[in-house]
Amino acid sequence: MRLLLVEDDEMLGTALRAGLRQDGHAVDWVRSADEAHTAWIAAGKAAAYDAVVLDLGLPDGSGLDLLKRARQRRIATPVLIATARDRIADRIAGLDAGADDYMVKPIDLDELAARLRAVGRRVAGRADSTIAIGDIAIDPATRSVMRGDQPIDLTARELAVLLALAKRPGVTVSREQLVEALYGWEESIESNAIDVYIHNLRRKLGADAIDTQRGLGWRLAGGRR
Amino acid sequence: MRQSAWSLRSRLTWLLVGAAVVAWIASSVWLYRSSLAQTDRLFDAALVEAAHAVLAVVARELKHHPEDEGEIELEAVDHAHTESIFYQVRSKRGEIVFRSPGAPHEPLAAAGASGFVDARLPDGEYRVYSLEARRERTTIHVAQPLAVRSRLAQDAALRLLLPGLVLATVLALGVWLIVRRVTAPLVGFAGAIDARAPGDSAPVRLDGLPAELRPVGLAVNRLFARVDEALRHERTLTADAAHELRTPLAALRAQAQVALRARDEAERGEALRALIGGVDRATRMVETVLALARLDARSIDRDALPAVQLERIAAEAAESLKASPRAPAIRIEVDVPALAVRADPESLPIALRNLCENALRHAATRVRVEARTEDGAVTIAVRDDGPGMSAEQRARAFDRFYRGAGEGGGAGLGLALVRRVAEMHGGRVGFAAGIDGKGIGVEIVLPAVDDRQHGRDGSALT
Repeated sequence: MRLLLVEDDEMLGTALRAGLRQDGHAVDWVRSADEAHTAWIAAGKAAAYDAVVLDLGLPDGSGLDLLKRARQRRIATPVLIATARDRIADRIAGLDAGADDYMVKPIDLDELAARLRAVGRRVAGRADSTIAIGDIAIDPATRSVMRGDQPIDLTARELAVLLALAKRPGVTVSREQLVEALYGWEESIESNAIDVYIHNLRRKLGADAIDTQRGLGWRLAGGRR
Repeated sequence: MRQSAWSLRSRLTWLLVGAAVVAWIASSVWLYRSSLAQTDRLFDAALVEAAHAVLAVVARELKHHPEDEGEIELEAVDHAHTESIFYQVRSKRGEIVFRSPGAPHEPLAAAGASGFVDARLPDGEYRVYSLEARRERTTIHVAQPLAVRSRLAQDAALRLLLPGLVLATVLALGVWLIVRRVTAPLVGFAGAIDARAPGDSAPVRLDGLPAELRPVGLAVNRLFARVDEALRHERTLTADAAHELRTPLAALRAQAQVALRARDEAERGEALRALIGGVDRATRMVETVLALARLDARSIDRDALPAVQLERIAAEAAESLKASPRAPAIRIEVDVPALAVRADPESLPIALRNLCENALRHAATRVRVEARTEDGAVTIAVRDDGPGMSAEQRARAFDRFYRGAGEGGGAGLGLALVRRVAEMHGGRVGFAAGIDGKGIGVEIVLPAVDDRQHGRDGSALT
C-alpha cells in the first residue's frame, strides 16, 4: 500500500516509517498539517494514497481539522488516527470526524499493520482476509502466496507488486502506478526495478499469471487457467 | 512553644458579663448606700413626727388632767404604724411617766436632751429623738432600735438586689447570644476554610464578613491564589511532562520493534542506533523537565545575587555548542564585553545555553551572542540567520511544550525555561532581530540592580 504518514515527532516518524516499510508499504512522511494538506488534500485525485496514518497534535494545526477538510472535499482515503490523546471523547471525535480507525500511542507496529490490512479489506469490500484471484491466493497477514497447493516464496517488494496488481484484478496497472504503490518520495528507484519484479513474479508464479500490455502496463490474469 | 488556644467567643462573653456584673455591683453598692441614707432620713423624719404626735397627745392629757402625772393614757397615739417605734415621756423631774409597750425601762437619753442621738442600752442600740417641751415641762424620747432599721434597710437592699441578679442572668444570656451572633461570620469563615477539600484553592466567599475581617479574608484568598498558582504550575508541568513523554516512549517502543522485525543486520543496526538516539532524547527531555521543576521551586533573593562574569558564561555557552554535529557548519560569534552582572550563577548559564542550542539548531550559517548595558539593565541577545518564526509561533514559543513546525526533536521546554529564568531575575524575555535581516534573536533583559548596598564587592569584581 502507499501510505501517507503525518507525524511531527522526528523519532516516532522515523520508527513508524521504518516499521511500515518492513511491511512492504510505500511511505510518504510529512511533519506538519500544512505539508499533509499539500500532499493529500490539495493533490486531490492525483494523490494515490491507500491510507493515511494521522497524528492529531501537529505543530501548525490539529490533525482533526485536516481530516474534516478532506472529508468535506469528499476525499475518501481511509484514515487511521495514531495519537497520544487517549480520552474516550477524543476517540469519538476522531471517528466521527471521518477516521476509519483510532490507535493510541504507544503503537504496536504489528497491530498497526493488521489495522491497515483491515482498512484495505473494507475498502476492497472483502470480508475474507485472503485475496483470491483465479488459483492465486494471497494472505497479506501472513505474507504467504499460494498458486494452487504450491506455496510461493516472494520478497517484500515482489509481494507489494503482486498486491498492487491484485487490488484491481483484470485491470491494467501502469508502471507509474506501480512505482507509486511501491516507493515513497525519499526512496531511489532503479530504472528497471519494476521490470525486474515483474520478471521474478512471472518466474515464481508462472508466465501466464501476469499479462503484459505493451506500452500500457500489466494486469493480473489469474482468472484464466 | 505552642500557645494554648483561646476562644474569642468565650473571652468576649466572660469579659462582657464580667464588666456587666462589676457595673451592676458598683451601682448596687451605690444604690444601697444612697437608699440607706434616704431611709435614715425618712426614719429620722418619722421619729420627729412621732415625737410631735406624742407631744400633742401629752399636751392634751395634761390640759384635762394636769394632776394625773404618770397615768397618761396615750390611746390617741397610733401604735399600728409605729410598731418599731418606742417612746418615753419624762416629767419635769425626769421620771419616766409613760413609755410605750416594749420600750426599755432605762431612759433613752439624758433628761434635758434635745435632737438625735444614738443610744446604747443593755437590750440594744437605738436611734433616739428627744423633744423638750418647755411649756408642758416634759421631755419626749422617741426611739427606734437600730436592728430594726438595718433589717428594714437590708430588706430594701435585697429587694434591690434580687431583680438585679435576675437582670444580670438575662444580661449574661443576652451577651452570650449577641457574641455568638456577632462572631458567627468568623466561625463560618473558619469553617468554610476548614471544610475544603485538599487542593481546593478557590477563593473563599467574603460576603457576610465584617469590615474588620475582610483584610484577613482577602489575605487568605491571596494566599490561596498563590498556592493555587504554584499548584497549577506543578500540576500542568507534571501532566504536560507525562503527556509529552508518551511520544518519545512510543517512538522508543516502535524503534525497538523495528529492530526486532529487522530481516538483516544492517536494518537492525540502523534501528538500534535510532533507538539509542531516542533514549538520549528522552533523557534530555526528562532532564529539562527536572531543571524546569527545580527552577519553579527555586526562588532567588534578588537583593543578594552574586556578581557573575557575563562574558565567561557566554563563552561557556558557546563552547558547549562545539559538541553538536551542526557546529562545524555554523560560525559562532560571541560579542560580550567583560561585564559583571547580578545573576543566579546556576540558572542564568542554563538559560543562555538553551538559547544558544536553539539558535544553532535553526541557524543557516551564523549564531551570534551579544550583550549590552543600558541604565544598569543588561540585555543579552542570541541571534541566528535561520528561517525565523511566524507571528503565531512567536506568540506561543514561550509556552511550555510548544514545538514549532520542524521542531520534532525537542521537548518544547527550552524557551519556557529561559522565560522562567528571566522572570526569576525580575527581568523579561522577548524576540529581537536576527542576523542581517534573516532569522530571529531572543533577548533576555535583566533589570538594573540597586548597587548601593553591594557597592564594595561589586566594584571589586568589575
